[in-house]
Amino acid sequence: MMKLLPRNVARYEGKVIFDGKDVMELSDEDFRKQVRWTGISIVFQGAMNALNPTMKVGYQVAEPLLVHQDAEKDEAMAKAEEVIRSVRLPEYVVERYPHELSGGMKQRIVIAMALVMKPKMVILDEPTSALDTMTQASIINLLKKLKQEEHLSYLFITHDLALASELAERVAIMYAGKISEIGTAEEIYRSPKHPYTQKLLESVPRMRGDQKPTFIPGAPPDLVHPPPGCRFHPRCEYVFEPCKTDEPPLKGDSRLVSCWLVNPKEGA
Amino acid sequence: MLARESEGGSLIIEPPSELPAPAPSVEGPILAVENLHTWFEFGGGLFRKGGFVRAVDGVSFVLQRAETLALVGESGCGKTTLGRTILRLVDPKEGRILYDGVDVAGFPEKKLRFMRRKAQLIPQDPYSSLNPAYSIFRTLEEPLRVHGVHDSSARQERTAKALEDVKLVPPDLFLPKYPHMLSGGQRQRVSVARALILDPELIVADEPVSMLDASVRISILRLLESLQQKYRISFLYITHDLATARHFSNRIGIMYAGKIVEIAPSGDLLREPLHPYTKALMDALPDPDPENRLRERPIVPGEPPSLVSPPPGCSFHPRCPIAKAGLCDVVVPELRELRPNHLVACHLAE
Repeated sequence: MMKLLPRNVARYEGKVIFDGKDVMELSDEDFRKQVRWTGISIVFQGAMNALNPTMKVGYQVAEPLLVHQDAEKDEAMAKAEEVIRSVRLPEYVVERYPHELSGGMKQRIVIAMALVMKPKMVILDEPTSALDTMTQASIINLLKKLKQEEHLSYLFITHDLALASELAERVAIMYAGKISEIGTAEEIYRSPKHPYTQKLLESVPRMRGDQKPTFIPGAPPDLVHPPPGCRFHPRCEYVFEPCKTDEPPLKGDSRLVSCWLVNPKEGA
Repeated sequence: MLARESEGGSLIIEPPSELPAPAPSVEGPILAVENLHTWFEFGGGLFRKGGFVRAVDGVSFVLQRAETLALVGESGCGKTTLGRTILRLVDPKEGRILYDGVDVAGFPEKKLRFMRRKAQLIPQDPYSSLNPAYSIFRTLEEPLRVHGVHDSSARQERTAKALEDVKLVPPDLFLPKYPHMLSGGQRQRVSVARALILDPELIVADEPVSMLDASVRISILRLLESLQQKYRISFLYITHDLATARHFSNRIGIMYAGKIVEIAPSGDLLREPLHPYTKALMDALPDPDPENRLRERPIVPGEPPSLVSPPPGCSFHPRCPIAKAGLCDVVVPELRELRPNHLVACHLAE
């Protein structure tokens, strides 16, 4: 969605409608000007290790303003300070280098960078997976507050279902490159319908309650040669004939499920 | 907590939520650690004072045979160093490491050979801990050669059996492969097989699943659990993840700034955490629950202290919500047995 994959390997197909406009139609140059950072920004996994070690973090936060908006340096630095305050860091960190900050502080700086251009939407790609439990909790608290304050939309990418429930109003479960189920957080967590969603929830080791975690036998398929029919069928305990040959559509009323068991095949 | 009444239609027979403690044996514990210190010296220069990183700072515990003790803590709390010191991969500064009743803390490498066979490590990263230039067979065969299994057919037999034990079957399919041909979960199974090949009594598993996906994680932990039952292996499970520790260990020790601050049978520890740090760790961990998004998670402020100059008194006191001035910032709390088998290092716990 950010058009960041290398041109020679990536093949995009389909549409991405952002704020009413198909942004896949835009040229790279227009996309860079109109969407990246100002419309959609992204916080990568382990991004705190991508900070430039030779530059003060304040300048690094201000840099997109200087590059994209030709802002005056003073103005940009003032804005950077403001956004650094908004991620609940003390002002003096503006003058610090990355090595002087802890992992959690660096991750806050990366979030500040993603917010400095006032985007409407932020893609959070495993934003806390490199952090400790307590630091993770404080970053998640911060993301919750920022969402309210700035009216942000988040696309939160994670393998951690427990963590997803900290932020998400809606949850999409992906398997082998496709969405297998999408619904509100209540629907997905309280009454999962796709067998993969059910198994995935059962694999989460819980802190409360007596449920012992179980695992899904087998391994995810090779995406070069995905299995025919439903991509989950080789590992599914409810597999029956149509699953092996026909791909189930993603359908339903409010919640969409891609499973022949939930949406029986017509005429079957 | 999430209540899900078998909407999935699948019938799962729930195992008991707490792993029963293994029966006490007449042989005595496999491992006892007493007042262990591992400090790393860093050099002083012309303008800079040298000092010590107190990675392990006075740790004592006992590990019974066929027991799993989880050591849980955040990064930098010294848990990895503790594991490595116990295996004598790092030299302790002070304290005793009683392996099967023998204090190996001061042994020179030559005298450690018996323990090198019986005590093994499963490292964290399955991507960097296997030699990429070695076939799986060679990786597994090497410890056998080093430890004097000279008969090549015996080596073949044992490597095949180790792969069967870790469910990489048929072994003939995997033996000629190289690490890059395997998935992360399969590689970690090879690491487990390598640890098993010399029939160990003790395995230190240092974050063995933290780099793996959720479902693969559980499958590897289940595997370790079944191997423990089959071969009566004792595990020291080092992790930052209290949730897996809860489900896969008999006892849990919580580490903070180089010390164990609380240690108890897993069920007791989580039912009634006595140390404020343990409580904070538990509060920070979410379960999958759609209501989470509507509330803020309670957290303690601040970050773990520097191990070079830890705060005086209890090292958690600067962050502790109940710390008492004049006590917690002055006196180092000792581990006290407040409940049967439930020890805590906090002045204020009762």
